[in-house]
Amino acid sequence: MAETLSKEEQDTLKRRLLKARKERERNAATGFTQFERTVAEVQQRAAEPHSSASAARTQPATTTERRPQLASGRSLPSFSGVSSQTAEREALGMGPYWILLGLGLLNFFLKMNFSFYQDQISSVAILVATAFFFWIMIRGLPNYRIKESVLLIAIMAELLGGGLLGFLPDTSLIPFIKDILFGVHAYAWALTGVLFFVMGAIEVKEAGRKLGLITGLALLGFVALGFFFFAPSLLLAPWDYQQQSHQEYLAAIEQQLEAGTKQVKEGALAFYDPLLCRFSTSTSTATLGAYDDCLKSKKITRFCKANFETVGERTKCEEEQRKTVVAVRGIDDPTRSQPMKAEFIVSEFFPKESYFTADSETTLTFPIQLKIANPRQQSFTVDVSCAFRQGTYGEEIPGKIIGAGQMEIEGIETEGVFVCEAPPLEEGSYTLIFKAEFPHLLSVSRLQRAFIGEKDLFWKRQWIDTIRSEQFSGGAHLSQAPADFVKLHFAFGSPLENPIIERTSGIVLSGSVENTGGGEIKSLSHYALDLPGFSLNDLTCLEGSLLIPAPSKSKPQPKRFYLPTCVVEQLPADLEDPSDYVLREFFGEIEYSYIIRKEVPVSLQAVAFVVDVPTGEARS
Amino acid sequence: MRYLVIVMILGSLLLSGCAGSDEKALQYNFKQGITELDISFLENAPPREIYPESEFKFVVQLDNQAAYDATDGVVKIIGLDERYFQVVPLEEGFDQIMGRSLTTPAGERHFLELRGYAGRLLEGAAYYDGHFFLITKYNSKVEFTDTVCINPNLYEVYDAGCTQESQKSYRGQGAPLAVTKVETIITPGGGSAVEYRFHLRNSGQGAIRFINLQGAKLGGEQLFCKFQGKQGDERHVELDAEKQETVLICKKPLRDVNSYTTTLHLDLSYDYEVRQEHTLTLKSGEQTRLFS
Repeated sequence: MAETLSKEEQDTLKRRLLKARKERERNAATGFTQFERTVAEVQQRAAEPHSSASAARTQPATTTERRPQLASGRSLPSFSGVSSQTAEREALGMGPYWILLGLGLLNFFLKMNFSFYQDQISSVAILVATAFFFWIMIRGLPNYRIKESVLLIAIMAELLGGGLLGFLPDTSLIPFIKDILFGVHAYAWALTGVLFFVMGAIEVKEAGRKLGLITGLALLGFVALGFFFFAPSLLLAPWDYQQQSHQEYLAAIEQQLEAGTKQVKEGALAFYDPLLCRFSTSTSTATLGAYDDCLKSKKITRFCKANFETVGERTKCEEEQRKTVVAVRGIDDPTRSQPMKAEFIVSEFFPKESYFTADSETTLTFPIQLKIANPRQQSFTVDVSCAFRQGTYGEEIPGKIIGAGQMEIEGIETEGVFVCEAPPLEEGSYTLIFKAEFPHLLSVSRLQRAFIGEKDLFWKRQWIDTIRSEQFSGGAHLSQAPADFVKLHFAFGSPLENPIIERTSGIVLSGSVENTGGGEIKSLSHYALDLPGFSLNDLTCLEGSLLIPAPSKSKPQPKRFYLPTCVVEQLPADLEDPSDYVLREFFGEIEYSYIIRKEVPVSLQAVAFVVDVPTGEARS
Repeated sequence: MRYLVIVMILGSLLLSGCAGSDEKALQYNFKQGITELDISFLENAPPREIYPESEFKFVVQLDNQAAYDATDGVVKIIGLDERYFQVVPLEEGFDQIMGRSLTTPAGERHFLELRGYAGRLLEGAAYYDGHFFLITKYNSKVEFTDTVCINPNLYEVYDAGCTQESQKSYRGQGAPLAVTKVETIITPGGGSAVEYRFHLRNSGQGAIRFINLQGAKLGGEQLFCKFQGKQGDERHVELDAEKQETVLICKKPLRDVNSYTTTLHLDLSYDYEVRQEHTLTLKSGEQTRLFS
């Protein structure tokens, strides 16, 4: 070994060996000492050509890692910048990175549930706590400097993202940038957690250790999600050949994630709102509650922008929302418990795979059964239509329903079969979409209230609990809606859920509409609350129409819509001060159009035209 | 002669029969225990299930099992939504229903009729349950009488008269309002006096709103009474809806120095309200069956 080294190099190595021995004597601790590194270096140098000796000195190798070597003999720069200290840290494995990932997701969860909008202090606390714990965790990890930089970028992204959002004007171009900023603002820490996780996996891999199965699966999941969001078109083709259930499953995931972003857009994470409102309402002329009003106003603006496209719709939405929104609950009416149902039934004879000849005009037809339960025997019409869509995001190509495409419903049970004729389509896999539209459906809800007027303490003690238990047991203090596709809930009282009405003052009226049918509300053309003799501060509470946003791929339709809230100014004379008490039932009605969809995967395949003519021999 | 004998025999039978019942009645004390006006609907009035747009009746039977008359009464039905059930009239009154006594040992029974009209069910509804209250209000009274011993000189060992009871309990006086306990407190000495504390409690099914003291006598002389904790009109008290009891305190100076036995009498009037809960079911005649 010594013959291949120069005299000068041999002296240097001897000095270093001597120094290393002394170091080993001083430090008997485990790990890689300078002595061992030097021994390894000497051994490596002995095996290397003489010309690379100086390079080897500048790039010492450890015994714990085997780095790829360049042709010159210089090792590749390590991502993890390894040292004996880092090797020890790597012994921790993926544990810290899982914690970091968890912290990132926890931050997202906290943002979703403890919104900045509601509490400025909590928003700051969440940010500070997240940054602090991230910093604590990365301190013991390799590439601390790099990770620290990422951490600072994450903090800046959240602060700047939130801050910039408040100042961006509302133009057609800006919403795209706003979407990005919202995304960064909402997912900053979750993404940072994922980034650190991926870095950790690379570091562990570089250290020559194997990744665990769960870590591997998580990485694959991140890659898949990355494709899902950033390159969906790459995934479209394979999806087309998947079963419908897979598509639905992915769509459900997509909706979940989009719902998170939507919540952010609608105001849950308006970090800058408290600051702006604090400044704008800090003047001496600002009234009490101006700050809260300001926050509410900003939230309404964002909600309407997120849900409506046109300026007119947004304006109406804001007008509706600015009226006090109260979540009114209701129950299912036990006396009208038979559910209204509509379902498409795909028979076992449905041609999921159809064949057509490319050189002739083959008509492909697809039958489906529509079954309707109409327990309240309403009279209405159902319009059925069909369309074909290629892929998840493809354009819908309308098909044609052979025959009327309509069905008159009057009885309790109705069934009909509809046949969809496909338009000229190319070979491939499609999703056949059947739609049943129910225009002008009615749903009537009822609400009971007991009017007691002015009564003395003796009467109240004797009666109020009894009235509650006898007349309003089983949730009857809430409005009762039949099991229709859409339910109207309404209430009045002081507070809303108190069924005992004592006097006029302080009685509030409000309502909401809930979609429970599994389909979508196309329109809600009319709502009416029948409160004869009542005097209210705003008559729009009693009658009007609601603006219903159509669902899209990025925006699922909300399940609940709110009616305006009003104050009852005067009760009818016979209910103001009855001698005992008067029980009265009130009715509310909604008229709406509803759509039920059914998606069926179909495959269209072109085949060559073959005529099977029997030969004379065969015939004989 | 033969007719005379028959008439005499019949007359003797009649006389002996009447004398016998009077004596039996005299032996029976109606004014004991807790009894009151029994209120109930006659069978199938109203029916358990009513079909839409039909007529029906409420027949209320009032059977006074108390030992006192029920007066100025009213029976009413409240809590029905007029959209589903209309009741005409909503209330019916009565002047007097006699309590059990020598002349009416079984108590008087009275019937009141109210007419009802069923409305229509809400479209698509299978039924409607109308919970309502049958309210009966009336005035009545209760009397308390007992023989008591008064001994002003408690420490006189040579007084061989009666023995005074400092506290005595009672089961009731034939009405829902009852004197349940009487405490006797003697102030001995020169200005001796007796104090009675009557514990009154409503042990009936209904509620008493107020009690008026009509009279209180010890022997033939008036007692000076007031309800405990009362200011102003001391002979009138309003009970708490939840705590239906009170204490009446009566006092009287004593003239005698030796023990003696005398009657203690209390006469109270009160209002009474009985509340019963019932349900009327308005049921659709149509049967529906849907696929699941």
